[in-house]
Amino acid sequence: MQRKLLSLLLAMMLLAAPVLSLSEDSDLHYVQSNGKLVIGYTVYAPMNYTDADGNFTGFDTELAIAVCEKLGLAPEFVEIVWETKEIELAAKTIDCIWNGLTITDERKANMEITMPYVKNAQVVVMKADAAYENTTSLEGKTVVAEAGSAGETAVKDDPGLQKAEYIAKEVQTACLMEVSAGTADAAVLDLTLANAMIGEGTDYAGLLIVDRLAVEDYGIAFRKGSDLAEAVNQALMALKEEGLMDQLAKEYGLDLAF
Amino acid sequence: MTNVSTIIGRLTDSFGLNLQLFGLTLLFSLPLGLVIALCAMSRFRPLALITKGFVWVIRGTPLMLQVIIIFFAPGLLELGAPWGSGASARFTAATIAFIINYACYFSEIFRGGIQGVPLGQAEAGQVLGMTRSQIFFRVTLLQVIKRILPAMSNEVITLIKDTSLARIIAIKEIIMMAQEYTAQGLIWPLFSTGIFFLVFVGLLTLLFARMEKKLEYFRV
Repeated sequence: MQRKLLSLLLAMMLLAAPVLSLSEDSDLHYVQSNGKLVIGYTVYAPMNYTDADGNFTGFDTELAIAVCEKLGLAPEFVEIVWETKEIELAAKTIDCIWNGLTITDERKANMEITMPYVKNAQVVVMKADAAYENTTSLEGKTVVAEAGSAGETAVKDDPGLQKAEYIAKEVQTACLMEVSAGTADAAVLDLTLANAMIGEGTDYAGLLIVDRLAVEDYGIAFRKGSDLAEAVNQALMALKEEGLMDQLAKEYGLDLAF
Repeated sequence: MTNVSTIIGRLTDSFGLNLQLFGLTLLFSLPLGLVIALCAMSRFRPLALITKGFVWVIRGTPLMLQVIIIFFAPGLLELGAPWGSGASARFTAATIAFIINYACYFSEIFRGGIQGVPLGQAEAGQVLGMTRSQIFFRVTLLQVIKRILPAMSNEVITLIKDTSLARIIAIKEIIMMAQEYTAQGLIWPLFSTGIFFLVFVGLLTLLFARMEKKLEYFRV
């Protein structure tokens, strides 16, 4: 009896998941009737984090608050576990994943994702006076990246960089030190991090981003078929016109995707 | 950036969640476990069978999975949001999952304890004209408590450590809090969480040793 009930429950759960995603009810009406948008996030600077004064802030945090204001919704931030984000969305324990989510084809097939709003890339950083045309310029030179990072993957995937002498470092920031000291010719790391750490007014004023590899876009994910994605797109465009997006991008050192 | 006392403060606060989950689970799973044990021993066969099947399912599946199912299933099955919304919803769902899980384990310990009391005692009670419930509450129960105490202390100690499984549904208990720092490249907070558990288990061990001593007069 109990066993039958359990297997029935499990079968229903399996059946309910796709049915849910095809639900014809407007997701926008659903959140409007709740009066709030439940935003799933994980702690991840500079997107969503608590600053030294204990305030919950970040690029995505501030942007989500501004978008909710446009939509007449109260934002409710809920910390989630990244591995179960899709289940959270389907179970309606959250209404969106808004946390520097990289847009991929798989994700687009399973969720409704907004237009790209922030760009990330793995970038090549060199001294400002170094000669660079493309990645083949680095043949035989020393290239550093963080072990296990997306930067390392970019180095291994690039035909030009494959011919460079690659050294894995323990952290991304140590890579910049190597280039600055001349012990390595180039470093491959996150655009976001590079933006924040090099250029005028930093300790690495003599370094430049010379190339972008593996460009990726960030989007905000909603339940499959949700009309909320389009509503958020409109709000993002309005905020772009008002200048808020550029202001936030500057403040947190990010590159906008539009 | 972040100083040590702030980190220890935040870890201590989040250990409060582990302790709350521990306390609530014990409070409700002990009586529920006794009820389940009595149902499993019922002379009404269908009830005993259903109860045993239920205990088999709960003990036979990972607690982590049960926490996930209890929290997400209502939403996935479009049954609304019985747990409410926000952080308290997660905590409620996890507490219920823990109570059910631990009640099943406790029920087996109770069953062993009850069946271990010599039959002669119940027979003596019958001769004296006591009812079945009188025999259970006045003769059997206290001896059961003494017999099951060592097995219980094992489960209770396991419980405090299991509470950190609740982070699977993003309950910010101590290990999830510590992992926030690990992600920033600071690893000592994660290892330091062990001290919180060690100290608490030390206190539990002392408490159980004391209780066993108090019940020692109960030699049968």
